[in-house]
Formats: sequence, structure tokens, C-alpha cells
Amino acid sequence: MHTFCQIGLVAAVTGVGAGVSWVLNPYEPPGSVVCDPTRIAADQICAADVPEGALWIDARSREEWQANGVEGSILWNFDAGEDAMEMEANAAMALMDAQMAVVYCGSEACGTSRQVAEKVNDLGLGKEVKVLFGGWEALKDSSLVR
Amino acid sequence: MLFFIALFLVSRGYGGALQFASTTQRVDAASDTKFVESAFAFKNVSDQTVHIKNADAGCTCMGVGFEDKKLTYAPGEGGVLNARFKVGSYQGKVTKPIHIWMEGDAENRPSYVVNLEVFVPVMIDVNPKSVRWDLGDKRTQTIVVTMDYKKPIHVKKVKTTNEAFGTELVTVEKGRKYEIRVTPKVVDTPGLTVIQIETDADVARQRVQQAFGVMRSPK
Repeated sequence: MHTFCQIGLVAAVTGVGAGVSWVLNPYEPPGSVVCDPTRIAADQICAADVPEGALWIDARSREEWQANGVEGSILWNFDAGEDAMEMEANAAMALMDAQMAVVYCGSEACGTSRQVAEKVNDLGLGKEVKVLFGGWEALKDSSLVR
Repeated sequence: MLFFIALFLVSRGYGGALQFASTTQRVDAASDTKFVESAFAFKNVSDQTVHIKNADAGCTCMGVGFEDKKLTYAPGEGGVLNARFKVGSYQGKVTKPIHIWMEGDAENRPSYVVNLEVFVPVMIDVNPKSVRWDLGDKRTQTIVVTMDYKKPIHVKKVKTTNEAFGTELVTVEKGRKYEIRVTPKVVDTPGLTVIQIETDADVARQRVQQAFGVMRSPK
């Protein structure tokens, strides 16, 4: 009995540890982006919640945008070789007909999308702008990308 | 029981083996700076040898690398993470995170994040960036252009891309402050104009500024 108690104690402690670990770090299959709308920042949006009629803005490099950007998206980044005025003007024109704007870059770790989102807000055109949670990683398996 | 709890905690890697002298580096860039460089010094404060897998800023604007390409650090050993940021068309305050993965870290869970904060002066302020009208509204609206630079910057020309909007340039203080008065000529059709403001700024990437005028349909 004493042995069974010890086994039970080890199992219980292990179970508690596993449970805490699961809560703190829920399992995510490698390469997937799990987006919980209740746990993302106020300026972010999950890919599944982006409405029809949103303007997608790609903040990655031109090469990446041309290779696999969202169909119908425009490019807006801060790369030295790009025409900043042209990208800004393209965005303003595209926003005229858009319900809102969603900016994405390579991954959740990339901060460029937030900076582009600020530029969109600074245009003062009155359109809502969000940053895509997970970046392009959240889109790569969807039908939205080229 | 305490043994198992301790074992659990250690297995989760709650230790913070690398200690950074500062996790945020702030750099002031000149208006025409093309590159900004900074360094993050760190030390292995654990009692185990640690192996760094990778560091990445997640954008093509920043190159990062460990001094001497060294990725393994013995207990007590120090190192430096170097960062080189390409300013491009960034202006104002720019914060770029750099993520650092240790061996064993999942792709989406880097162990450390350090930040490079770069301040690029804004020489020319255009406010507001857009002026808007609803159909039927023919008021004149004003965009103020203010210079903040060591020497005067003059507005040389203002032009619009859409003839449905007219502009008038007014000098408030030569080389320091200008007003662009925008008046819609067509008020029954939605449209947008790009208002291009050409200056004699000696920093090429800030020489041309732009604002927008929008005649919009009611919602």
C-alpha cells in the first residue's frame, strides 16, 4: 500500500506539473499559428476574422510580396530601395474603396507591420487598421496567398 | 514532492541563463543616416554551458550577428550581439525587436527579446495628412507644413494629381512654416487627390512630402 501511495503521489504531482505546463504553454503543432481573439492585442486581428472588402497591406520585401503575397494586396514597407511616396499614395487610393486595412509581415516576431499600421492611421483617412496576428505565417496555408 | 516540483521547473527552462547589460538600446540617427549600428552585451550567468541557435529581427531592415560568430558560452562567459539597422524611409521613433532562440526553443518561442530604438528626426511635418469633404461641401481646408531643421527649408512647388481639387500656397514664415489651402472644384463626385509638396530639403528622402484630399460619398 505504501508503494501504491508513493506511485499515486508521483502521478499526482506529475499531473499537476503537466497541467500547469499545458495552461502556460498550450500545445501548438509545429508551423501553425493559433489565434485566440480574446488574447490578442487590441490592434491585432485573427486571420479568420478579416472581413471581405478589407485591404491587405504586405509589409515584407517586394520579392516576398511578389512571390506569395495575398491576392489583391498592396506593398508598403520601409525598404531603402522603395519609393516611399508612391507606396503611401497607392495605399491612400486603395483605402478609398476598402472597408478596413489589415497589415501583415513575415511573422509574429516582425515589428514592421505595426509601424506600417501607424502610417496608415497617420493618413487620417478614417479607416480602421489592424495588424494580422501571426503575420504571413498565419496565411501561408490559406487560399488567400498567391 | 519538492524534488518533483523543482525538477518540473528546471525542465521548463525557467532560468534566464543569458543576462543582458541592457535589453533596450537607444540610438539617435541624423536625418540623412543610412545605417545605425548597436551592440547588446550579455553574459551567461548560469552554471551550465549554453548554446544559442539563432537571432533574428524578423525584417530585411536589420542584420544581426554574434561577435566572432560565437554561439556557445561557458558559465560566466560574456558575448555581444551586434545589430545593423537600415534606416530606409523610417522617420520618428522606430522600435525593432530582435528575437533570440536557444537550442531547443520552439520556432515560435524565442527565449529572449531585445529592442533597438532608433530616433530619426522628422524634418518636415505635414498636418493634417488628409483633408476630407462630404459630397456637396466646398469649404477651403488648410494643411500646415512646418519645418524643424538646423537651416530653413523652402516649399518650392505644390501640385495635385486631380484637377477636381485646387491648391494655394501661403508663406507664413519663409523657410519655417507654410499653409496649403485646398478647395474642391467638383463637389458632386467622390475622388481623391495626392497633394505633392516639393521642397529644397538637402536630405533627398525627405525632399518631397505629400498629403491627400478626399471627396467622399456619404456612408
